[in-house]
Amino acid sequence: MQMRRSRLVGLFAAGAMVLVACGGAADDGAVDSADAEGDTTDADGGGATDGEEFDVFALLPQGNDQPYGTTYLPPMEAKAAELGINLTITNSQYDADTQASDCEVAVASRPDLIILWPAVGDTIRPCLSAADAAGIPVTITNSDVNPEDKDLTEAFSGPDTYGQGAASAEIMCDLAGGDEIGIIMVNGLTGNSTAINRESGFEETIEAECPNVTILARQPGDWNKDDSQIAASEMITAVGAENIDGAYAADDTMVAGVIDAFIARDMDPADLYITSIGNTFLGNPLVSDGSLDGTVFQSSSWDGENAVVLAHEVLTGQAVEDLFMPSVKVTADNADDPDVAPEW
Amino acid sequence: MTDTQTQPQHAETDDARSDLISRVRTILGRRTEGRAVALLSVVVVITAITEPIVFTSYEVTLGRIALIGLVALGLTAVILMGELDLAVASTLAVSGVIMASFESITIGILAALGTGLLIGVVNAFFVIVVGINSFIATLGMLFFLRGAAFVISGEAPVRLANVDAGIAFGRPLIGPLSPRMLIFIAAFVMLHIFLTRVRAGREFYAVGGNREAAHDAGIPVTRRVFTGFMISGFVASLAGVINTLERTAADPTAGSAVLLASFAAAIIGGVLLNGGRGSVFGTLLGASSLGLLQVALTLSGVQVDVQNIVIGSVLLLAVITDPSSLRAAAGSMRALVRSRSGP
Amino acid sequence: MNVPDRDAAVGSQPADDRVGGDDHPAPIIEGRNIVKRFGGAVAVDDVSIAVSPGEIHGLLGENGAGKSTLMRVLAGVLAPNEGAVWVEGRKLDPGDTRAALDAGVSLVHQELSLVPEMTVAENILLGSTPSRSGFINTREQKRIAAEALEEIGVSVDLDEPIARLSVALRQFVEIARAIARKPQVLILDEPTATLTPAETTYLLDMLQRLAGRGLAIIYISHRIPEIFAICNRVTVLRDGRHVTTVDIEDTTPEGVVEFMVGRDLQLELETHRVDPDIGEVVLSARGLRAPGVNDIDLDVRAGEIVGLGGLVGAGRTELVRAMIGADIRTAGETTITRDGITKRIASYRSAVAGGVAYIPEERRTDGLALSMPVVDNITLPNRHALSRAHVLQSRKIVDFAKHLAEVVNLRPPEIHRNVGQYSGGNQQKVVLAKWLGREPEVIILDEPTRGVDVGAKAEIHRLIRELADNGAAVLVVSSDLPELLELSDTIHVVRDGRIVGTLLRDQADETSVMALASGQTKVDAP
Repeated sequence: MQMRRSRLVGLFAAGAMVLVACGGAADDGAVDSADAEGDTTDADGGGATDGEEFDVFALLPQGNDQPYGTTYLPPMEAKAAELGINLTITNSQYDADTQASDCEVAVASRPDLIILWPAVGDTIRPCLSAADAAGIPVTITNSDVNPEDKDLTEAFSGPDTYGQGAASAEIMCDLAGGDEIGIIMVNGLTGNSTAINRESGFEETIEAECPNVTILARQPGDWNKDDSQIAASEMITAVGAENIDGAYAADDTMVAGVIDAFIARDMDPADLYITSIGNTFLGNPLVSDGSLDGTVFQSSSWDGENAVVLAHEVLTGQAVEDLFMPSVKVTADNADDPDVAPEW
Repeated sequence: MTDTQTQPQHAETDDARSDLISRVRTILGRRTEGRAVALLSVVVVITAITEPIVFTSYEVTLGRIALIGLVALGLTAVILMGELDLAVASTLAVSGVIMASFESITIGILAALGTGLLIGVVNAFFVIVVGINSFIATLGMLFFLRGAAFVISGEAPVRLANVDAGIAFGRPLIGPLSPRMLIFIAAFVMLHIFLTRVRAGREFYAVGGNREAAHDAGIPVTRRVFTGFMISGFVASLAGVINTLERTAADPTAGSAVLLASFAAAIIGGVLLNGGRGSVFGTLLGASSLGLLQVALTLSGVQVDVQNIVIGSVLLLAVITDPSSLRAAAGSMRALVRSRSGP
Repeated sequence: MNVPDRDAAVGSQPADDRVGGDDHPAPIIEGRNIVKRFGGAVAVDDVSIAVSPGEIHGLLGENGAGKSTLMRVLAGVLAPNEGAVWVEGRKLDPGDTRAALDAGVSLVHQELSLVPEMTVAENILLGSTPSRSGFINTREQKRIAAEALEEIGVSVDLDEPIARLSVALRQFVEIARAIARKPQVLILDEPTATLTPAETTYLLDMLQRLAGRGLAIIYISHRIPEIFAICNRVTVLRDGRHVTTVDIEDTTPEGVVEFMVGRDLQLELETHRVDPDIGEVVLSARGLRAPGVNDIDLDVRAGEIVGLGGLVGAGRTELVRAMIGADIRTAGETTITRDGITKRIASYRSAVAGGVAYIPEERRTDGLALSMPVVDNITLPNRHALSRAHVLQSRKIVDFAKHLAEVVNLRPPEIHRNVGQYSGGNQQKVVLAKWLGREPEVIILDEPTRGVDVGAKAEIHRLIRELADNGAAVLVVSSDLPELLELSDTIHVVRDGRIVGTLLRDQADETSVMALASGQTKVDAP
């Protein structure tokens, strides 16, 4: 009797499974049929009626689970639809193994191109060589690969992390206006390429354009507010509050920590020169209320949209170069402009 | 029921045909992998229809199964004894980082595997000698090792000194089979033989099924638990080595997806978390179902959140279709119906 | 080695224990002057026992007399505090199970000690699996297992997992497992507790056959007829002490009971409730059915103590739990009458609200929070009465707990001590105190004195009587026959989930209850 019951539930389970899978299938039916079309047009040598259709895999490390990805995806998908690109998007949640496996899946399904946002830059070479071996072009979005892997990719689109650091430095130079000032510096996670590029972009621009600004101390804030606040607080103690005229942090989240550290020491952030990068929902209001003097807009929608634009250029055989996001400065003057409305 | 047992010597009087049927039924009834087989069949049929590429490029699917399944195989040895090893994912991460820290790949591999064994010893020590609940002991180990992986790596991925060797390792070795799959198959065969044919391995079931009885029967329970945790630690570090080689770098944050996936594979495969019941074959089936499902869902572009919902549902299905859970559920259903129909 | 020790042990043996020394061949197993203490409690106090090949030696005693402990010492599962076990003239290392097994002493456990997910063959050879360089020799494994099963005349599929066998078959597999070790001494601890009468008869025949082949068997049972059916000699323990060892021909069932009960018999006569004041029906069940419970009608009156007798597994616990809604029922209903108003018991909550106190068998898991102090345990169900506007009044709580601790004679009466630090008997007193505080209308006790020492037992009995004298309706489940007979005003005997007989105190004695419980007047004597 018990046997019979368990068998019945087994059947039920199977049924439930079928339902679940059907839901999934209905969802991707569109992709499937599009797949088939794409294949035939390819085989016919591009006999499509209006323009060409392409199958593209986008291997991303984030999606709707992060604020940036949430505003990155819709413009990407809209642009893909506009350009006749069938996108299949994966999200490895910053797990290198998952992305590597996603990459294998992508290569196996023979798309026309792969858009890659490396989850962990150092682990991406096998994926690139696999795609290369299969003759699938790869474009990079958001975070570029290591220089030695660059030859396996077609091109990069995304923020110019060096330029962002430089733009933030230019705001700082304007603020200093020739005065001899000392600032503290909070950087991103040590070893991270974005952190390295922003740091050198900022530092080299300061040295070139306003050597009157001195970086008194620097520490990593690991991209989060708490660590940044602790780092800033330590630097204030080490350098002496009276010697500090300002601060630079490599993103808006960390600059919020720096501002809190100043407030905790009874230093008014409005009297200090503070710059960062991001223009996020966190950073933009800080610019408006005067505690943050300037930040650099990193637009997630630009990033997502241009990942597809670049891919399309590669697919249509146009000569392509790396496509950098313009580093738009955001200060009190333009913080409320719709052009620089924060996206994430 | 009682009559045949009081005169047990007269029990076997069935005719041959019904004997065969009943024997097949008995054999099926004894297996613990039934649900895993059912699930795998459903998944195979559905993916064959919707995403045939899952099978045409089977080497990708096999790779995914090996990725999920290897750690799960080692974990099975521990779960069979009624213990848990939550540290497997961190073991994977830390051994990868240790391996990449050495200039020589050979020394790196040996150091990583040694680390895995050592972690198993330490886990077993806390569980069986100190007497800490394995959930807590290995949870502590999970955090300790994750921290250690960050400290050793300097909080950034460690690249292999010899990147080309890593890339070569990721290539197929025999036919379409890459070294990862071959190692996975070897690990499966060895563990399967160990747990079914070798006395020490078979005694894992006794340790998990009735620890006191195992002890009273003279089975060295302590040694078996040590062996189990060492198997689990070793296999996890082996996975760490493979991942590091294939990716050409060790990521200290690695393994985030491994822990849950490997537990899920074991549970779907019919391995009882309380111990004493299950098999590595079941785990293999569980890992295969999960791997197929993941690849199919990825190919069809289903968002990772939705994938997680599907996998979670499958896991819940696997748990609630467990015969003992079913009995409990049926009991409470009856009670519910009765209380509704009452005055 | 250790020869002087041995001589000393023999010398200290009381002469009158060696009944008919010449009639029996040299003993194969001897326990000499065994003392075993658990914490402060002495479970076995200076007991000696000797059994010869071919002999079936009965071991009798009330619950808690120390039988199981003694047997676990003999089998090397427990190390004695004093004394030693000798097999074939060689002293065993204390507490070394392996050594005892190697010397040929096999214990069939009272609790089933099989691994449910492993096969019959694997279980029979658990711990001594035949293997060649680590690999299991399956053929040899099955051969030995089949041989052992054949020896006891039971046929089971060797590949069947234990979990798929009936309780009775598991018991036989246990015995086969002991036999497979080629023992010289076989110790069985209440093997018939879960068997039907027919299965019991089969088992007893089997044991006689085995003894006929020269095996020494020590047989523990509550059931005196079984002892008289198969044993050559019998040893009686009481309160952990050796009372007597006699040849079976030299005694009678009544004589053995007298030895077992001893001075308790006096105690019983003195403390028997005289002319209890029994009132109206308070707790009543009609047509009650539940898993393991068949169509039960049962009434308990105010001031009455109703005993539920029967064998382990007869369905008594299931019956009381279904009655008070603690487990599901499939049919019938239970009512509680209070101040002339009759209410249906729909759930355990409503039972408790209606004044039912239920003290379950596994007090460790169900009844007490061991890591909490006595005061909290006692006042836990009484918080409502002790709080004013939901604020607990700590002073009142402490006084209340102190008073109750005195009433139940908790020793030592330290209410801030954790319950886990008390002995079993005192823990049971705490459970009683907890429910006494509610002044329940109905109190149901399941095996109230299991694992409790004799002194505490008498006090618990006194408390139960007092409860009834104060007008509570009391329902007691007990496998301890003397306890049942001593406490109850009415005894219902349960078998296979049915009440098979009802005895008033004057009609009930051990034999009549046992006869009803086992469904036969007598176990067939050979």
